[in-house]
Amino acid sequence: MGCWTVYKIEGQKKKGYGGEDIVKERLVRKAQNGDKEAFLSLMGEFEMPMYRTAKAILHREDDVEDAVQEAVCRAFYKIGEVRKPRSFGAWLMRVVINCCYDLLRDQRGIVPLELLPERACEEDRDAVLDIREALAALGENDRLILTLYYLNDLTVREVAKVLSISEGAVKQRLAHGRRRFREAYELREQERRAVSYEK
Amino acid sequence: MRNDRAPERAKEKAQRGYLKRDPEFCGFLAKELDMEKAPESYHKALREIYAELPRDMPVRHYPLRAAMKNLAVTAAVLVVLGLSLLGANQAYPQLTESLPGVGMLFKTLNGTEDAPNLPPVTNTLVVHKGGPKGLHKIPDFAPIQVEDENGLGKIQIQEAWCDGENVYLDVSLWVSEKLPEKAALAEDDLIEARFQESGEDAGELSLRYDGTSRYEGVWKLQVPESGQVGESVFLQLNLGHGYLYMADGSTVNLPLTMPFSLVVEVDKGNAVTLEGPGEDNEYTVESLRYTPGAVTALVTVPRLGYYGYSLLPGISYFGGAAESTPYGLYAVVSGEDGEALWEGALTAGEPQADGLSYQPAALSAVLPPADREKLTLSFYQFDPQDLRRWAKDAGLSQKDIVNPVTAAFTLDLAAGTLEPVEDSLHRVSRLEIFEMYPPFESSQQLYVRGLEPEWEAAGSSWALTELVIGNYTYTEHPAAWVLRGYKDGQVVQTATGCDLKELEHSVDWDYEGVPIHRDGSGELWLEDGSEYELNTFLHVYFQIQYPPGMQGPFDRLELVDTATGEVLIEDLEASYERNLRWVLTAGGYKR
Repeated sequence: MGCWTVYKIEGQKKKGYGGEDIVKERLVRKAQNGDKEAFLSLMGEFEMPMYRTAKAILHREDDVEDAVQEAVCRAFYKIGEVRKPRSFGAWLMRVVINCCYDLLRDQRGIVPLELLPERACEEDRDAVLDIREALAALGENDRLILTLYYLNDLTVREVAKVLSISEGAVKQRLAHGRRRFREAYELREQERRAVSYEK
Repeated sequence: MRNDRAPERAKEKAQRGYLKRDPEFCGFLAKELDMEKAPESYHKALREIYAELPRDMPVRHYPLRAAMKNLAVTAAVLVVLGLSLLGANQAYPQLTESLPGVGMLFKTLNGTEDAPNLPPVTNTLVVHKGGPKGLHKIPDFAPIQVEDENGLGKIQIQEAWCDGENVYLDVSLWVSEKLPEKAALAEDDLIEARFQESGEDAGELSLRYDGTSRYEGVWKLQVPESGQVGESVFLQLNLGHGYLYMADGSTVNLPLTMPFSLVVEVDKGNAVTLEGPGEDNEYTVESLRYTPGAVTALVTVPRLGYYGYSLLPGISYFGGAAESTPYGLYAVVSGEDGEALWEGALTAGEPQADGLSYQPAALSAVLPPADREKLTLSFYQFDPQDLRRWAKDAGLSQKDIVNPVTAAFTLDLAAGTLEPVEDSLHRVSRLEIFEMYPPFESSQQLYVRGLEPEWEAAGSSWALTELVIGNYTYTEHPAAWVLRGYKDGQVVQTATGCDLKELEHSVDWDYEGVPIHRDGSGELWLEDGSEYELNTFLHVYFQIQYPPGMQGPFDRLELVDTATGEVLIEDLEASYERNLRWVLTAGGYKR
């Protein structure tokens, strides 16, 4: 069992339902009352969650940018429809997902094959490719569920609601996806150990 | 029953590690998904869109507050209206009984309450017929034909129409045998054709193969400075380099050069707008606008579920985007002769924050310009393009496949009505889709929902199947299964399952506590289905590893119950294909 490396994640919120969430709720209410500055502050808070959600589906940076731009526009005009400001994050992720699927529908038949982005680090290329294959094999839904839950901090219930699936299904996908990740990770660790042993 | 173990399972799951958001795993995930940081271009794109947003935000509408404010006025109006209606009821009881909301009151009053099974009531629509002239014949247009400079193809503009804002050209394209890539052109596999046109406002032309030798489509072009348009528009166009996107993922180049020009008379006000609901099978057309070149509509659509979250097979577990493709968001606009003029997906609006069962959707169909009296607007369970592709995979001809209709309307342009189509076609309901599954395969009441003959995991190749057991009980299904892989008539690999009842208690709680049974050459685990299955179905995933050195996938996979010796499914792939055919031919809907 290999140890996990700690990576810094940009824009991940702190645990719990504390002051930060209350501030966001206030921003939602202000934006609903026509405060554009509050809306822009909110968007600033959600820039990374929107990015990750779109990236889980679209992969290509320019598509991600197009989809999130569209989502911001839709959120601007539709934020008044959010009934529970506390659910704004989940609602916004659903908006982003819809924009992504609309984009994919528009692009039907012209989606390029290079779905996975290029990596800069050459030395880990083989190992990275193994993991990427594992990721590709996971399927888009599992990547999306993992992203929404682990990186965007949505609750299981919120993920279920956003994707219109049962909470049980979300939990199973989380377990399945995490297991696949772990397999890939351990494989890489084994290979690294084998390489260092040979050296 | 499966429900019996729910509390125990919940308790076990609560202790599992996979729900922990430990920073190590989150960091690893973010890194591997390439989501640690967003590139600067992303932040720049956001700054650009923030700058483009209007200065004033739309203010939230508070329906309750507004309702309170208007209550006094409404009450006063209701009294007057009530008195008027009582008078009208004396003279026209049928009219007052049909009024929405108060109709039942008058029925009770008149003692004419209907039997419970009422025929669907067609809502009356408010009709606005365009401008002063209303809907009228479109101006004449003399067709033009243009040949490619190198003789590689030709186009014909059969019809053209302009409402002052957009120009709609009905285009046909023929490709010459001289085209270098003509041989690579599998015409029946064409998904779409796109062209790079000259000029920023040249719009987009998508063509479809018509089954003979012609590609046809509508070229919609936006008129620049439409506010200042006169009696006609002059267009200078060049149908330039094109690409044909084929179903197999290949692209065929069409190196065409076809410059041409034409004049189209402007025909303003030739439109019909309908406001008010038209309903069929939970689909509500809230508003609709027709012009000779386009139909746009706002529709409230029931949420019918997703490809990946129903009991229907046909969607590979590892099928990516297909899993979250929704049912029921597809429309076809057809003419009086039944010919499809447009097909495509609706653009789904945002669901309500509380996750309601309906969602708003927008239809935006471009039509070949023509004079019409009637149109049919049909909604379908599956995306027609997906259905055609699956049918091809299953070796079915296009005429055999059935895309279940979820709703259908007739648009009578002369009468200004939108009514549910009165035909014998069954409308698939939300409940039916959730409850639908193919026939069981064996005495153990199971079927193959998914099959992936070849996939890679942890450096090995596997064949994976998803088996669904219906009406599941542990006592009836001890299920000591064996999955056998055949190659050249010989069993080359055997994966042994386990008693499902014991799965969670007796086996290897590996990887974050997911109960998974391993026997060295196979793995078996359970997954939950959708919430609509009411826990009566069990989803069993069983995978078998390729033996070392085996080239290509297994020739056959066989499922056997070792407790009884019964061959449950002789050929999983054949069984899966049967189930796929069952879905594509709508076997379950023929009642």
